[in-house]
Amino acid sequence: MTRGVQDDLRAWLAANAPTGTLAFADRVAWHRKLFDAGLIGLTWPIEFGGQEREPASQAHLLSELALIDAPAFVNQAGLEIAGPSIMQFGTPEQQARYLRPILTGEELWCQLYSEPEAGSDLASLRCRAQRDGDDFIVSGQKVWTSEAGWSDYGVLLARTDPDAPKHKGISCFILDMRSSGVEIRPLTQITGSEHFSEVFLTDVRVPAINLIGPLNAGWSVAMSALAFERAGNSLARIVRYQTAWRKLCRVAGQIAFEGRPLIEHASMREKLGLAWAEIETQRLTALRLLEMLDAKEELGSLPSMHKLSYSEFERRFADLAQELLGPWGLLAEGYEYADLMVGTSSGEPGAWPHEAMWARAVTIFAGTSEIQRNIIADRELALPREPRI
Amino acid sequence: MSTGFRLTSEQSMLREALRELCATESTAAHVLEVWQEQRPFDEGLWQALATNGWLGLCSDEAYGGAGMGIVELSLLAEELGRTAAAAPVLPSLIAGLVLRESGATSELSASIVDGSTRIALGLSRDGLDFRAPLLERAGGRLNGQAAFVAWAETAHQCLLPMDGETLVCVPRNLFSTRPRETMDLGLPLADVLLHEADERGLMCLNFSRTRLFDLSAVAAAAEMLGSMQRCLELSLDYARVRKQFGRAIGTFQSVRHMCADMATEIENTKSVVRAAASALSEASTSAYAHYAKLQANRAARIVWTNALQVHAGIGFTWEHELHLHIKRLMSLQGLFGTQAGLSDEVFRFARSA
Repeated sequence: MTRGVQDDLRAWLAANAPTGTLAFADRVAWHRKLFDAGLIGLTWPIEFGGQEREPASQAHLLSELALIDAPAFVNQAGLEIAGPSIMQFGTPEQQARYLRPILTGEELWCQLYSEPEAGSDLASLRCRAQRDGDDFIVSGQKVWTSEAGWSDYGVLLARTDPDAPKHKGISCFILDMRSSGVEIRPLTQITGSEHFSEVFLTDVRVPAINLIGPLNAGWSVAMSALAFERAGNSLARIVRYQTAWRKLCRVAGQIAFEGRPLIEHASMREKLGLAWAEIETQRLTALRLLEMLDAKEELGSLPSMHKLSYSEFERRFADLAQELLGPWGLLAEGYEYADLMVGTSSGEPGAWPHEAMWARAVTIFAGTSEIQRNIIADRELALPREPRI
Repeated sequence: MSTGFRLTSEQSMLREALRELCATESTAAHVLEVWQEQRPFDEGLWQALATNGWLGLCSDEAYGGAGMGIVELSLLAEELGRTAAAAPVLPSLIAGLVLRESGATSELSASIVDGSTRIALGLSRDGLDFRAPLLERAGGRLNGQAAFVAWAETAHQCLLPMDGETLVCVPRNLFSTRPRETMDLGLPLADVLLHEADERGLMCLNFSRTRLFDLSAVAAAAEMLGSMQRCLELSLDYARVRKQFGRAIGTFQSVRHMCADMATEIENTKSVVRAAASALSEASTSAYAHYAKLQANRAARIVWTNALQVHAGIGFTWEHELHLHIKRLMSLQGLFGTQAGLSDEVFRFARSA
């Protein structure tokens, strides 16, 4: 991003970005404002309503939002999974029908991949889709579906050929979340909020024209969208660590311990200094990846290494805040120091204990740390494979 | 500003040539021989580097040098690190860069280029504090010391900070040394002691002490990067051939994951070392140098621990190459900035930024 573009963006954000905790409807309104300002779909092709800018442009926009602790846009599953899948594999009719409302936020999407028995081993998913005339009849159970309750559509992975090898019998569908037979049960998560749900599908009719890509090619459709999720999304997350680091320092400057501010204790400074250097190291790897993306270079397993690295760091950093703040780090609300409120990795504001809990999610979602290490060992290091069961 | 993540084709060629040279002149067997025979340093490698012009990498072209900077120097450090090279190359090359950047017109540059003069760098009074003064000047005499100086005994000159903006070049006859015994026989350390040294006629250079430290820290981090890459290669080779329970140990997830963690920290180190070298080629000093050394220190602990664990018993033997790297990584971790010192500097910088 050039300096001039960055200055314009910062000025616009300063005038328009909302502050504080937003209700979901307000976050959708904020999304619309971003869209109207031409800030949604920066990397999408012009023919699909985007601006066809380089991959890094989106990462830089998100990091500008992170810098001022502004809410990110909504419809992440639409913009990062459904949209790219439909652009790459969808029919012209699907592209004409679904892409624009994804950008505007008028239609919200969720991702229906994981199942109770298919987490890290996603390809073993059991949700069935059987052909019936012009439709498929879908039955099964999905889980960890973020924003399911708000969503109009879901990107669904279901088994269409139970006799084929597990990666080759899966298809990808557009599911109307208001179809008869779709039941959503919110899950209360460790933080106490209801961010994700279980989704039960019982004899749901899905028109065959809702198939994304060829029949039984759902695995490659799903995997191609994951590439960007690992490579392009980290910069803003890392900038949020920097924002949190500064807040941690400010609050540690206000809390007294042994007659002087906590921040003046040598042990505190060493740990915070180390954490800052680690954040900068993560940020530099993020920039390196974006530079490679822009140059259309082969990324290899670097996205997996990066995801492994920053997610493990996020957890250590949240633990560090707990260690340094002691009892103050326990307060979920009702605190006298404003900086005990941090923007959590969920994009919703919260307090340090929320941050400590949320930091546990990032080493699990989008491929656990263990799955990333497997990918690195297989693809980057070319170690002999584990015996497969 | 260039990010430095991607090498230019010239830089890639330079690295290839170095790798080739080190692969023949600095093999593990060769380095082990230097250790075994307790030679002061690897003269064969030194000569080969001199003959091929590498010792003049950063020196002024007027004196036969190649006029390159810290980016190329850090690539050379990386390649030397890969072979755990046992030669006093980096301090002399940094000195060559210092002489060129400070505009010194001295035959010293030419003698660095042809390999006839070796220079050591005295950066700290105690090995930990890189800001406190090392020397006292009184009545035309210099007194003081630099601790844990790499390659001091075989050096012909030692470059020391007189104050924040001036370096003084002291010839070998004006300082004595106190050797420090360590386990890394390929990177000898000694304290440099000045007692009533006559400062008349000594060459002084107008050069920031902070920059000298940053350059040294990045060179050390780059050498560590190369050494870590070699640790990973050795571990992967071993994990592919060593069989237990009827299969290669590289098929066991516990072993695979240790290797994946090594690779991840090596890539992070590469990001920050490249960025730091690039930053220092455009600015006098950079916080990136501190980040690079801190990351290299952190990564090194993970890499040497995991590499030794993958190799198990065989890695615990003198014959195997691995210990050369483990000891080199330990040495460099303790030199040119430690966790306690650097993290406090980083903290103050980040707070004020």
